[in-house]
Amino acid sequence: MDGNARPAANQKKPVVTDGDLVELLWHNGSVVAQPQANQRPTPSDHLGSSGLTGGEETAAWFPDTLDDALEKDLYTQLWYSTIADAAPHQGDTLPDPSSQPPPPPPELAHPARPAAGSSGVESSWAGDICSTFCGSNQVPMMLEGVNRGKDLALQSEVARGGGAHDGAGTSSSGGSGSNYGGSGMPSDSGHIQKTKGRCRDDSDSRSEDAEYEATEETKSSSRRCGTKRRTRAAEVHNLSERRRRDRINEKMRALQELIPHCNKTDKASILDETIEYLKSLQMQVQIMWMTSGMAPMMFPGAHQFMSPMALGMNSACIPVAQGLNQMPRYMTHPLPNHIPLSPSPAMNPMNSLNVTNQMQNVHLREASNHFLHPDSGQTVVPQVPGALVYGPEISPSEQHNRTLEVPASTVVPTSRAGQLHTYGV
Amino acid sequence: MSSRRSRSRQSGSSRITEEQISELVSKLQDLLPEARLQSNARVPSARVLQETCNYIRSLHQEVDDLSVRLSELLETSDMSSAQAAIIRSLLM
Repeated sequence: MDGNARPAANQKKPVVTDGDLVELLWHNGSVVAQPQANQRPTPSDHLGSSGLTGGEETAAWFPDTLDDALEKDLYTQLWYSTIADAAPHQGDTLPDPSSQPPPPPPELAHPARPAAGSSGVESSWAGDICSTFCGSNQVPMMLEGVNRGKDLALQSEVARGGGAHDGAGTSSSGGSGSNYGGSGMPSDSGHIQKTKGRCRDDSDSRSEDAEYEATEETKSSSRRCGTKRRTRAAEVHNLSERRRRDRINEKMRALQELIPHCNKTDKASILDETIEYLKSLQMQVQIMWMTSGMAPMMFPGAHQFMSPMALGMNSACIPVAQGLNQMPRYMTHPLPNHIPLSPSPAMNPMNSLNVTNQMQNVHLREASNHFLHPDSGQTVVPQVPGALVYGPEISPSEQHNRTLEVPASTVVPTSRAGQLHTYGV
Repeated sequence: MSSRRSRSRQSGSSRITEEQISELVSKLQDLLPEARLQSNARVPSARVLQETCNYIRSLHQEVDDLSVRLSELLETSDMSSAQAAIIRSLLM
């Protein structure tokens, strides 16, 4: 790759001194610099007519100048996909190229700049956008370059978004969006995160490139190329950022619909309500499991098993009922008032149960949850034998068995949120 | 939650920061059953929200199933009125 690049650079220099726009063409593995006059008739028509719709003109160039089928397949895929994304936005961003962030314009002139490997590849990618390229030698370089260009976009998005995980998620989605035909893509996407440092290097070299280009590029078409590239990079990550935001907003709306009596529209409130609702739902499910597990114990035939603990068991339901009383406002069932509430005697027999001990040992995070004590200040924990304890440790794993294990019981209720157990009733 | 509000006040604005939201999302992630996503891994927010929706729906389904079950128990088993009342309260 570099072998091809260097002779290209050598070839390029004498032509560059013309001060005219130079179009760099790959012909059969070597760069041929042609004055753009040759190419201008075809694209300029498109330029004039489309009014700097960069995507269209680039697309128009492809059929004209590509004579390598391989390149055509690879890059038309790439460019049609990015063009489809970028094309609608060209109009806004093109008018002031100077205010655009550095990346694209200098790269036009340096498709084969050997200076820094990454920057060279970067520019080679960008250069190929405006110039036409054919040459299988350049394919792996191109892939890298394009990928890095995309990485740049994504990196700035990461910097903006402030979340590495979000960046990773978006970069992968952006990667799939750009529809790479080459096999190099999957491996490159792996180091999207690592390109941060490299991107900074790119920006340094790009500033140098900017001056270099400014001296030689005077034609508007090249500026359009640079602008196109810049805006395309900007648009790519704008789009991916927007897509990510839309996804998240959509999920938030879905969540809002799921949560009863949720009239908030801001993200933090919805997330707050979701967290509380989830906790209360988990609690409700746990209680129902426990109750449905205990209910068989109330069969007449089970009294013999229940006698030492009958009091405890029945009393256990009472603290459970009390817990129900403390149920969050989401629970629509009002607790009947006639249920005898006798917490203190219930606690003593309950202590003999492993259930209670284990439940009491479970850390209750919801103690501060206002759902649990809507009376604001009343703590549920001492009253409820841990039936309402549903800390984060409780997950649909064997941990549930801990809290719901009833000794000498034929029924072992295991509350596994997300699973449905059929007891041997 | 009060801590969250005070934190925003400390930041000088009541605007909801991205950090707040990501913290909430991570809290939500903790609540989700670990089977639904790799535990303690940094999962993208959209994924967490999606899993939360799914989880809530599954919990709803589970509550419905349990309600059916409890109502059946209420019908069939011979239990004291207190216990029946408790179960009935659950079924509301």
